Formats: sequence, C-alpha cells, structure tokens
Amino acid sequence: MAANQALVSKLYRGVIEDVINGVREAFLDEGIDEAVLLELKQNWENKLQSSKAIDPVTDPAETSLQSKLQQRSSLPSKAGQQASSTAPANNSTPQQAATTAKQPEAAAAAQTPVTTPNAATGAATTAAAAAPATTTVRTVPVQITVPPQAGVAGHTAAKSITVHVPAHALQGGAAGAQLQTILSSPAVTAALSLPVEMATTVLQQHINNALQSTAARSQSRTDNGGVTQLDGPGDSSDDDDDVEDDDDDDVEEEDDHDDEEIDADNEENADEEPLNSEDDVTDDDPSVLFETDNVVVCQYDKITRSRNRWKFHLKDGIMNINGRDYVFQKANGDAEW
Amino acid sequence: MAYQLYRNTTLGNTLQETLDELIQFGQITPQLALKVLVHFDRTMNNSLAQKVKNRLTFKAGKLNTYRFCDNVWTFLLSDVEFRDVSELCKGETVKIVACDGKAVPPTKDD
Repeated sequence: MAANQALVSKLYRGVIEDVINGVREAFLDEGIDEAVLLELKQNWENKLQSSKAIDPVTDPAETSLQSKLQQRSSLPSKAGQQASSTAPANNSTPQQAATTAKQPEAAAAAQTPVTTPNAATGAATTAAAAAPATTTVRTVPVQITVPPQAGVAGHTAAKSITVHVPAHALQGGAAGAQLQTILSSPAVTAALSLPVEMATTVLQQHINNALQSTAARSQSRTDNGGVTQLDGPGDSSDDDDDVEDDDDDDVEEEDDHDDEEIDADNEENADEEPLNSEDDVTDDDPSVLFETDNVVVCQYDKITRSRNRWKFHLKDGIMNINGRDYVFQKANGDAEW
Repeated sequence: MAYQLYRNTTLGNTLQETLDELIQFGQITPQLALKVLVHFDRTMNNSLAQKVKNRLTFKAGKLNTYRFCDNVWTFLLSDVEFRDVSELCKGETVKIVACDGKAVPPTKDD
C-alpha cells in the first residue's frame, strides 16, 4: 500500500487546501483574522503528521516547527534530570511546583537558585548524595552550603554549616521530604543568616527537635499513646459483641436474631447471584466489541447475503488499518457470518 | 449537504480537535467551526468521488456482527485481508460503517 500512501497524502493535502480556501470567506464574514485561519491550517497539519497515519510531507514551515519541537523536547529532558536529582530533596513550596511546571523557566530556576530555601535544598542534595549510604551509621554529617547573597549583611562568602542528621532522615521519600520541610521552615531561613557557629547549633537543635517530635508522633500513632480510639479503623470486630457483652441479654438476643436474619439473606443472595449470572450467554459486551481502531468509513453500493455468506460492494472509503490510512474508490468483500 | 460520515476519520478528527482548541482559546465561534465542518463534509465527499481512483478487495475470516439502522450498515469483521492489486494489509478486527451510496444525502436547513 506504499503507492496508496502517497495517494493518501496528496488527497489529504488537497482536501486541506480546499477547506481552508473555502472557509476563508466565512472567516472574513465573521470578522476573524486571517492569522487564525493560518493557525487552523498549521495545527491541522501538525496533528495529521503527529498521528502518523500518513507519510509526512516536508515543508519549510513544517521543518522549522519540527526543529523547534525537538529543541523543546531536549530542554525538558535536561530540566527533568535536574528536577529528578532535586526531587528527593525537593522543596514543596508552590513556587517550586510552578517553576517545574513551566519547563523553560525550570531550567533557569534550577541553575540559578535565588532564594535561600532553593539554595539550601540544592546544596543539601549534593551533600546528601555524597553522604555514605550505610544503614549502620546512625547520624550522617550533612553539609549545607549557603551561597553568598546580596542584601544580607556580613554574608559575602559562601558558608558551609555541618549538621548531623540521622541516616534514616536522608533515606526514603517521606523521610527525605520531612528533612526538606524542616530545612525550609522560616526558623531555618533566619538561622542561615547567622554566623557559622551559631547557625550550626541552631540548625542542629532544630533538626533534632523536629525529627524527635515526628518520631514521637508516629510512635504515638502506632502505640495508641494518649487517647485510644476504639471505633472506626480501630474497631476489633462486630462478632466479638456476643462474647464480650453479657448485660442486657434480651436486647442482645433480639439484635442477634436480626443480625442473623440479615446475614442469612445476604448469604442467599450471594448464592443466587452466581446462579443467575450463568444465564447470560453473550461472548462480549457489544459496546466493547465495537470498540476497535481499524475503521473503514465508506458508502455502500450493494450489500447482499446468501444464507450466511455476505458480499459487500462498497465505494468512496477511507480506512485506518493498524494506524495507517488508506483510501479506495471501490471495494468488494466477502465474509461468512 | 453531504454525509457527515467522514468526520470520524484521521483527517476529520484532527480538524475537529483543532477547531475545538481554537474555540477554547476564543479565537473562533462555534458557529464558524460548524461551517468549517460542513465545508469539510462537502469537500471530502467530492474529493473521494472524483480524486480517488483505486479499487481494492477484501476477505474476512468472520463476520461477527452486522447492524442496519437508519440506512446505515455497521459491520464487525475479524481476521480481514485487504488487497490492492499487488499489496496486502491485514487487520485483526475491522469495523465498517457504510452509508447508502445511492441515496441523496439528507438536506438540512442552515
């Protein structure tokens, strides 16, 4: 069908030209700019090419567009790599999310961090990556390098603060995210502007407090420290009521009977459903069956049937078989039902 | 007026998507988009009738379902082979939608 492909391309180009020229007048009648019409044509052709249903026809305008697309695709890959390296130590501020969403800006933002949280996270990542990934070491020294910033008095050179962070805080997504939220809090931001020794101690205390409190919180959840929740997810089970409650026997018995009846009904229904479900003999849901990508859209001259042999006389059709487009003036076919 | 049959083709779908995008951006009105589609229908029908000259045959392993409703035939065939003189292409399941080739398409008042 290779020859057919060239035919298809030519036909499509012809149709596009005809349509665009035909609607130009309609566009002008509505007072819509010719630029919009050109945009329509461009987008239409781009979508056609990206659909890969026909062979692409090289065009000066289209090749320049393609090269632009390639540039765009290479840029997000670079930004993506940088974004993925900072992902474990990613700041969860909306600014960061917004910049990663806009790809060209993300590349610039990742390369030149301006604000302190970005600098801290960026530097912390490099330190974290360099830290040994041993599970036996309890604390890992993490070096946070704060680059020099204008406008902060007495802060002309980059200073590095070394804090000791438990190893588990650096591993794992949730723990790593915790570390980042700790490092990005306003207290930390203020601490970073202090002289090195003070900043170190303040940060260290902050990290220790934060990690201990989160550890304590998670522990309390598992051990049910504080207030114990008995219902909801902590509920043992309904069946234990019979054993545990001895008081109010009359009320209990009535409730039990009701429960048993309801349970019996549910069981019967469960048995009946499998029984009934075997009555249906259809192979497939027709709506699902009719979903297929290989479509032929055409007109019929004659459809005949003899017993179970069907004969098709079709004309003026467009086919999409296995993703590729074909056209025909006439088509004849046979099938057995 | 011509059949709106060809709107569900690669060409037709891409056109509709492009028009929808332009409507979303507010660059064209829905009425204008409709006019474009109507023009597309006419052009498509004319092109297929006049510009296409090839014939092909096909043979299906099985006709799974057939439907004739509102003068439109819809067939589902499986294991189909399409032959165009020397070339061949195959499809596992093929859906054929065919409008009446002889009837005058319904006219609509715009």
